[in-house]
Amino acid sequence: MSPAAGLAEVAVVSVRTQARLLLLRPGSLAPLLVNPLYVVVLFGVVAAHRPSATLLTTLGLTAFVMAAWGHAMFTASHVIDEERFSGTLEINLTAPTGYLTSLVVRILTVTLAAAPVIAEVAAIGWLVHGTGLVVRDPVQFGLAVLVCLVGCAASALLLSGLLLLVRGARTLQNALTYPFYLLAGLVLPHSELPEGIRQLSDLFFLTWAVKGLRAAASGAAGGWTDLALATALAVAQAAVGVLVLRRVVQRLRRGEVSLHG
Amino acid sequence: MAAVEISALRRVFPKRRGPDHVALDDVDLRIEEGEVFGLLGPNGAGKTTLSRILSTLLLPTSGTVSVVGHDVLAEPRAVRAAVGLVLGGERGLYGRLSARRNLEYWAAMCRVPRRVARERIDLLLADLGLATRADEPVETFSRGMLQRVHLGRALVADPRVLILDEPTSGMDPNAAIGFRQRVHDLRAAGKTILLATHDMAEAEELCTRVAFIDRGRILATDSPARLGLALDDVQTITATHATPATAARLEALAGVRSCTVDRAGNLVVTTTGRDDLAAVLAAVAEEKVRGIGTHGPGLVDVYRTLIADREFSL
Ligand SMILES: Nc1ncnc2c1ncn2[C@@H]1O[C@H](COP(=O)(O)OP(=O)(O)O)[C@@H](O)[C@H]1O
Ligand SMILES: [Mg+2]
Repeated sequence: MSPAAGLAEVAVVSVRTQARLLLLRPGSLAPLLVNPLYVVVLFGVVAAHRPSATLLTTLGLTAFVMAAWGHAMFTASHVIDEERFSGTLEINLTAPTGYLTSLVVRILTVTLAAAPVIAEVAAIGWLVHGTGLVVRDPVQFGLAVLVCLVGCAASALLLSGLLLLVRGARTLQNALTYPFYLLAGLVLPHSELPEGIRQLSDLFFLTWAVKGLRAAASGAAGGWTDLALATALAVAQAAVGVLVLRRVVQRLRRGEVSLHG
Repeated sequence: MAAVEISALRRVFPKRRGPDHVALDDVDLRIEEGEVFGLLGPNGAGKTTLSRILSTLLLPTSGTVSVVGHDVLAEPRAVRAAVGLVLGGERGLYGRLSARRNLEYWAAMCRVPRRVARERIDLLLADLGLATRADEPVETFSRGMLQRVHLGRALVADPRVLILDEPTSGMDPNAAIGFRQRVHDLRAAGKTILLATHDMAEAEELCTRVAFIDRGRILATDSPARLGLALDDVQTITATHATPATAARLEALAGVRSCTVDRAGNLVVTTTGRDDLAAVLAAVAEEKVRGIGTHGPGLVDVYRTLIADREFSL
């Protein structure tokens, strides 16, 4: 088997294995189903103000992004932890090559399980207000959803490495949602963030992914640029994530990080 | 070419406080292809550390280690391709997945072409007596079945060297006997096997050669028969239904080297030489004991001679 075909085989079996592991214990997907229901409350609150379809769409997209990010931070980033816990990490590290590829693919698989949330949010809007998400450019919008999810996976990849590499990182895990929603301009408009924070937020892929999503929905100009920026930042983050994981594996083999949970 | 070649291997674990912990100290070892090599020693001797180094899970601190001619530092991938690792215990499989899925996953990770893998997996599942439950989640399996899945997983990539780290610990006797039968079969098929264990009977039954290891150092290496021969003087007499008074009387006899009786009344007497056996045996027969037996020196005796009992001196 050529190296490339071998890696493709590893990727395929990794997707399949991770999908099975998820579906055989679907409890870990429950927050994905439940979290977007908060938009029902939000929709209810704004209902008295005769909200525009645009505002409802923005709220729906916010719910989707929050659910996807939370899922990446709390479920996808635990793929390696689970491997340590079950002892499969040790075994996987005795495969000739390809364990990192497998991890990347598996974290991506878990993160992509958040994709149906976009349909859930649309369905809720339709049930409560009679309008689902209003999307002007469906192709661009589909791509924006994908970029958003892939970026979340890149963040989960980086986080999963840091959790093993940095002592005490785990205690910070609860701070991984709200501050990042703020940073991505989900809570306050991006332009209203304080100066230093705004520059930081410009380096965060999710800021541009959110802009890109909104632009694709509303048909505003600049959506493609936003998506290109989001993609570039996500790729950079994934690259750092892979480097961190390489380092983790090195330290595991040196016996500096425990193979067990 | 040797299957495994280790020279001056040392592995140190730094401790946050106090001196570093030396888990392996100046280990030299050569295992030929087709051997079943036993690594014997108490808990904490360094058996798992050595197994991990041979499967590239852990790097040596110093010294050289090569497997089928490939150095673990310079060519770790080639080493991994040649080695199958089986860890004792329940960990190391995807519990929610079936035995077949676990094997399929591993075959793909090891780049076994799909068609070859499918045939091999069917064969292995049948050989290991797992065919009827091949599609049930392994988390529902017994300890003995899990160990067979582990073995099947390690064999799916057809490795030249198999490393078994205490494979039968925690198994019930029937499961252990079944597992040993598989090792016999693999030995007949020409696989090189490193078997880490602290079960002397298991090593005696399976191994062509053994090494005793304690506190990270190899104390002796030879075939079980030759190691026993070196202790030819030690003859052991066993009996049941003994009392401490029995032991006290026997201990006073000339020709008795050691004499112990446990709470259940099991008596173990060793003689100072072969010539004393008849006299001591007669004395034991005079006592009100039952089930008298004798045996010449085995690996248990070699173990007792080489490795000090620290259980009660901690
Ligand atoms: N990752 C580690 N960090 C620190 N000490 C270790 C580590 N792994 C093993 N040791 C120590 O090395 C010694 C040998 O352990 P091990 O190889 O597991 O022994 P065995 O398998 O023979 O019971 C033990 O004293 C153990 O505590
Ligand atoms: Mg051990």
